[in-house]
Amino acid sequence: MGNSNTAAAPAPAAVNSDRGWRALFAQLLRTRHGSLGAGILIVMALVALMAGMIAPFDPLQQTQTSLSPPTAEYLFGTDNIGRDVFSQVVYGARSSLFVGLGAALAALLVGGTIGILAGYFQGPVEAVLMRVVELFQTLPVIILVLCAVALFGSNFWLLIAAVALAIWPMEARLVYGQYIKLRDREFIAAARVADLSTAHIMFREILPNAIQPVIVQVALDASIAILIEAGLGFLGLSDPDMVSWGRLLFVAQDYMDSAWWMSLFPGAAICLAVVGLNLFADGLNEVIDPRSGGATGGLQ
Amino acid sequence: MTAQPILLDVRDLKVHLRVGPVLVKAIDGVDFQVRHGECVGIVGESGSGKSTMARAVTRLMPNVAIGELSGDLKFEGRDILAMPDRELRSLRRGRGFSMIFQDPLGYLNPTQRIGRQIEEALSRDDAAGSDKARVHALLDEVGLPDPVNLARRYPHELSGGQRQRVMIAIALASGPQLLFADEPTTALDATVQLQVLQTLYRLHRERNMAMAIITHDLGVVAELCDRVYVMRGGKVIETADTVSLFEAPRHDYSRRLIELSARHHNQEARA
Repeated sequence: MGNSNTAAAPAPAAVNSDRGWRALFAQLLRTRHGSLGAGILIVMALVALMAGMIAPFDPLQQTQTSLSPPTAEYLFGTDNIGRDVFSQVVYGARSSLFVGLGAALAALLVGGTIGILAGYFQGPVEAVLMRVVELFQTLPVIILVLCAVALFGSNFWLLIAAVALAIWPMEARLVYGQYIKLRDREFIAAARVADLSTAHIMFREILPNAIQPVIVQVALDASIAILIEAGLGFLGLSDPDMVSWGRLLFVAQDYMDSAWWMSLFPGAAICLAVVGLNLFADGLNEVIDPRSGGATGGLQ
Repeated sequence: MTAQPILLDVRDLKVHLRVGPVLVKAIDGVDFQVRHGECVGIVGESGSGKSTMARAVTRLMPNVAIGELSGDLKFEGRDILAMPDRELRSLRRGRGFSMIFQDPLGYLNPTQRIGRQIEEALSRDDAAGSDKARVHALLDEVGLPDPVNLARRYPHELSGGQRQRVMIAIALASGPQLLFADEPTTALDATVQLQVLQTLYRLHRERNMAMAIITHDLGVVAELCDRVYVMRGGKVIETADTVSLFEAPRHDYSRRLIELSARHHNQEARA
């Protein structure tokens, strides 16, 4: 605890004067949560990108021994048909992270657009759009995604769309709330009086003020998306041509009592990714307010 | 001064607001004139309708349920109430009227640099050099040192007095003939108040710009204004030259205001 505090102390407000992304990231690394989360995510991203170099086997290649416990050759053991679990977990990072980020960004795009429109234009637009959001919110997430996958098949891209479908209402509500709050602020009224275009006010005046909690929410959404993707994989609904952590668990459930390594390592990977994203989001939350002087306070 | 033609002419202005089921007569039949290059004070207690009047005249009344808005409002002979929005906007953007407020921070976008926010308010038809140069000139004119550096700052990095000066620069960017100042110094501390008022007065003289200062501080009025309107309960109860108001107030309420203010200033001087 003392470590991060002393690191943050010397230059509390100095970074604030010129706020680029780089300054923000530097500040983020000075918080405990942020640095830990960013570290985990960076390692995971590297593993996903260089899966071909890290994994000793092709994830679908069968080796000599099946159901081998972890050894020096097979770090995480092998599964029921002799595939190396370590290689599978490494390749699984690709699809899991991709689904997580892809679905979170898609949800941001859809939810953000609807939230902006509903929040900025009052009246009928707001009423109709927000009822649609509520409709999606009341449906149980997993049923929604199951229906989507059952209807359209478990193609990888459709999977991303299905997960995004489940999480976009949160994004929409958040953006909507921000716009409702900011729409009536004096400086927005001033912008209207200054005869700036509606699009200019929506995107140049309000958006930069609304974006901060939204960025945090995207990071949290990514972790939820990874969990949903894992859940789908566990139900056997993920793309059969892709290795994913959830799918590994799905295969592993029959061997839970005899081959613990088949479920432990993919499960731990899911857990690590979700924890990493949540820590990252926490760190972002601490540093992202432009008026807070440096990365003090919060849960340091 | 008396020979100047009338710039803003308000006759029988009525603003009735709907607050729940109740109809509040915020402004109830007010006559109000500002001549070219004149400085007018509007004084009164809170809720006397002085801010509402300024907002009604500039047609800046968002988010209130208006029960009735009537009267004869003429700016340079043009009817403000009947004016289509486009004409009104061009009046705000160029050589019309501007307004500054009590709380400058609320009117500044926290995520935009000062320079850009002033740039947005510049009148469009003007061919007076590049936007950047005009912004710097405005910052200089309102008495802010080092305009180049300041234009790159964000609102939260400025002091209260600096923010109010930035607001004044934004208000001046359209080259208004009439500036409404709604309690321009209430949120500032005493020494800064004086500096900002001096700046306003200098701009009023240099630009030959008419000003309407809304305040509850009679000291401000005595220093700056040529003429005073005393408002109470949505009505103008007395209007007079500043000198004659202070020497011989006709209305009982005005006299009490002046006495109170004098006592207040004496106390401050003693303290």
